[in-house]
Amino acid sequence: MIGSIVVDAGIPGHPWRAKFAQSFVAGDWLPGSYEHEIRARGGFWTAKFTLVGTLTELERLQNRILGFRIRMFNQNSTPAWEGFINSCSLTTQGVTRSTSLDDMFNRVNVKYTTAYTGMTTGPTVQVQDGQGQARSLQPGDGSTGYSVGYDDGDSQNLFGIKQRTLSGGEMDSGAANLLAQRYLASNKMPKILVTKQRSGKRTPMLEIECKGYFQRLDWRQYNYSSGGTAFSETVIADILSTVGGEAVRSRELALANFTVNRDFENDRSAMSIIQDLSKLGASNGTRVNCGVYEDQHFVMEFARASEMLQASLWQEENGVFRDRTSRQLTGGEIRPGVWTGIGLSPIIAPKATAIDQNLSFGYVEAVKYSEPNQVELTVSESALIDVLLSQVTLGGIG
Amino acid sequence: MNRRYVLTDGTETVDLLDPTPTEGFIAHRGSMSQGEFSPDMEFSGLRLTEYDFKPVMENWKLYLKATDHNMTAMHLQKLQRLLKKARDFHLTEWQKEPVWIEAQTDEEWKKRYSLVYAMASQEVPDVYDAPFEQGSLLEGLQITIVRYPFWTSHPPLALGEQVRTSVMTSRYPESSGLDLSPDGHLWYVTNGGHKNPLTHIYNYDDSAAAFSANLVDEDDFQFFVVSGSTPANNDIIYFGSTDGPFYQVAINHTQQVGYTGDVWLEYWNGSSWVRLNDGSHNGSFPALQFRDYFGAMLIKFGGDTGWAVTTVNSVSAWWLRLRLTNTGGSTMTTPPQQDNTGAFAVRDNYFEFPAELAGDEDLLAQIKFYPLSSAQNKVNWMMMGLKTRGLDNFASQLNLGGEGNPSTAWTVQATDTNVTVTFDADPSSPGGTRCTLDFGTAAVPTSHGVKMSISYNDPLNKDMTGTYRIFARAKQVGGSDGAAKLSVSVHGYEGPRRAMLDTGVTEAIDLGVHSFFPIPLVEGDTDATVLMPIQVNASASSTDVDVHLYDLTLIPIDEWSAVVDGLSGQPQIANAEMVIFDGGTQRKGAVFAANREPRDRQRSYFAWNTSGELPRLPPKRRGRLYFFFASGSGNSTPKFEAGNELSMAVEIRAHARWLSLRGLDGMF
Repeated sequence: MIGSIVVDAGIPGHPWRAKFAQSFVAGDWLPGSYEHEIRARGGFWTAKFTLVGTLTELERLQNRILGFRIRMFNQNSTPAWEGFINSCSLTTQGVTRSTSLDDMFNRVNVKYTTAYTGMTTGPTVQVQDGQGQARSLQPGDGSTGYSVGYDDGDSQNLFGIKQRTLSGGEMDSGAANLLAQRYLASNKMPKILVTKQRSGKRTPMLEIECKGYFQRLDWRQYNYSSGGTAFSETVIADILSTVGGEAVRSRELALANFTVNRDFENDRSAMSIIQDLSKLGASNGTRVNCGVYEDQHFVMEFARASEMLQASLWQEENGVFRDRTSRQLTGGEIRPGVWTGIGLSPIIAPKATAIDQNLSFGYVEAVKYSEPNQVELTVSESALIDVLLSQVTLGGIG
Repeated sequence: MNRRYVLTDGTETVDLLDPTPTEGFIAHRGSMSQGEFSPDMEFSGLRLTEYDFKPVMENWKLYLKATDHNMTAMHLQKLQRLLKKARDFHLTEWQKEPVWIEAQTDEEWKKRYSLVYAMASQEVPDVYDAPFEQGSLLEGLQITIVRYPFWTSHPPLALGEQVRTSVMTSRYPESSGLDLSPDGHLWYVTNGGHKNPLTHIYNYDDSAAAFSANLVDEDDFQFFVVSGSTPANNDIIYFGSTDGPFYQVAINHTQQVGYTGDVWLEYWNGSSWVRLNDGSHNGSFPALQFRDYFGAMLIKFGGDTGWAVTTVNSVSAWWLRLRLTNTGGSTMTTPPQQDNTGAFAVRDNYFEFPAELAGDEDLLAQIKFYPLSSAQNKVNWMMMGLKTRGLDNFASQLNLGGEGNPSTAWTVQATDTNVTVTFDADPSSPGGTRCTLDFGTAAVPTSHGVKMSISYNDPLNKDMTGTYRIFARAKQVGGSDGAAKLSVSVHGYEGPRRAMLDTGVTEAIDLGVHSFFPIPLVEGDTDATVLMPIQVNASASSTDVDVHLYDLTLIPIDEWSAVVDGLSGQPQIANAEMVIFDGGTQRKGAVFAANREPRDRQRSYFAWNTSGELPRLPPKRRGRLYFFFASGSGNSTPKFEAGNELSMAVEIRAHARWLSLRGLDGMF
């Protein structure tokens, strides 16, 4: 069970972030409403729960805490989950007022195509030129341009930088600049959505949906045009240093030593690039996981064969999970990125080298925990297959 | 006659067992049951997974007798107003006064209380018929109310009863407690655990070059006074121990109104007396201490590597001293008076409570933390955990230098030859010895592995059974921030590896959750040979690095534990401020507050963060609350300093809880 939930301003450096912090204890949220998901690739992923209280109290919270850091703790005070508040929905008497960061962007530019030049004139009827005919069907030499990038400082101070590049199609720079400014103006703040149902309970409830800080890396783009090659951990370190400051406070990167092409020019999100790089694994074929965990600590680590989650399916102990030392775990303490046995109890850890070939064992890719005591594991039978596939398909040259 | 059952908010009262025959409510015979207690339970197969208390519905069947119909209405309306107030207390933010039931049977020793939520139903009998029309008697008035599932020892929001520790039987220097009744019953806890009590306290009169007698066994004495002398500049009070280095000294003194001079805290560094300025990392004694504050206070001293034994009044010992100067103000002429308690060195990190706490369900606890002094490193992160079994041979603080541990059965050992592991004298390390890991001769990068271990010589210390969060206190010397990493292994299982984030300071490193004997031992295992070393693993990325290992602190987390912190920008506590962590006696959660006189009054300013559950104590079980303190550098860089000087006075109050009768029960 979750023991407490702490909401505070989180990352320092934002002048608006005052000394606001609030702790919630059991009874402050609706029993059974809490759930979270943790992924081996990504770390703390999503969480949600529903607060109860007076309407005034919940309205005050909704108006203040969007974008705030949120931390969940187990009853024994150990960290269970951490992320930021992505949306809040206040419901009373059938009316729901929702605010969300999903469609908010405060750094916007437009990628557009200039008018086409160098178009080829086709052959005349007197000149039978098949190749010339083919060339005349080509669209010509359109070139790609970017509008000026526009920022909204107020919104960035409130929520951090969230970037979007719009595809403008064929236009000139003036039109692209105008489009970027207009888009920014209408999307720089979270929108409020009000819905009304025919009936509903009077009890005010505030549903809070959270995302882990790994998903905050999806807010920023990473471009690198100098080319060359580098180890994947070097590229990830550069991404985090360049655009990861609001998502990640500290990092620890394993030395994967897998060489990759360093060519990132398509306005891809930092999260997407890191996900692909981590799938490449290490040069020796070992699986690599990346995630953001407590204290916004980014971890890139090798999958450890010795990490076991013991899951007992015996009737007498239905639903008991133990760690590799046999300590019984509560639902909120279970993390992915470990091996687990299926249908055995207690499980004797096999030799590390054999674990990936043993069909009695699977790799825990994700853990979904929901109160009061529901744990759902997503287990893959062979954790290495996707590493091998990625190394082939993503063009690594290690 | 004690017989009592009233609904009240502390001001207005409706008596439901009104003994007056002509006016008021009286219950039907047999109708004042205690309601139905039906907790929510969850099962997974045959395994009980959840057990939650629910409010109790209590059904009253009453007579209401009045002198006329208008008086009947008056009585009914008074009852309804109280029940509305009960409801408003829970549903609104403005209503701050609760409503509760106050009950006592005829031979019950004390009253018991239960918070009322609201009225659930009401049935008023016919008011156009006898006996109401003729006699103003409402017969069979039925009201169902919803109340808190427990009866408590105090009304809701009332200040709880003090929990008095069970180890106050010996003299104060042998424990860490201070009884300031009626002001408060305080208990001191500190990061640096050791076994060295004060053995000598002397006053020194500089003009007469004379010492007082040894005051260490005196409960009352005057500071700076020798044979009735008047305090003057350079008069001194010395605190010493012939047993070994010690840290915080607890005193309890009167106020010196009008004195504006300085009092310097000094230690001997082997060649001269060195002042610890107010705000020093190692400790402090603010100049304004005697002037502005009185009562329980701490002389904060975390030790220093240069601290040395010297001879004072022919006694060779570890000495600290307070010296009067008139720098910046007037000279002290009236001496402060040590008040009733003796002075002592604080040495433990736990509060022990006896097996006499009342109740049949857990008590709601309120823990108050008082820093009682200023220091540069102010506490803003506090962890605590409860242990009620296996207390005799359990050790929460394990000194890695091998000295000053609770039992000599704990021994340390160097277990790696790739780095130089030595056990060196260090007065800043609890017990006076530290473990040094010198990476100077190691191959770099040094692989992470076991460097030293601490183990209990008796192969099976069953009292260690349990789950703990383990913290190391250590200092990285040399190299860049983060160059050294630590972890611990229990039963051979290694926990998370953590980088040391700061150099040159005593740092708290969270080494994760570890279980000792996670598979339960049974009786037959008593003779089994289970060697259980706690191994300290380390590595460094540079040969410039030394790591000074001081101690491990094990905070139990399997019965109850919590962390309170002010790391979200809230102020750190110092001087006369406090943090109150309340499990529901007066509020829920942790707040930063300034205390007023007397100590049981508070001004709350900021909420602190709460991780884990709210505090509670088990009834009828001896137990200990263990503590660990840190000074976090804030959100931007999560670094935690945790020197010996971080210590607190702790006061615990509680509301006992019963499911039915209170009777003659326990400490309260």
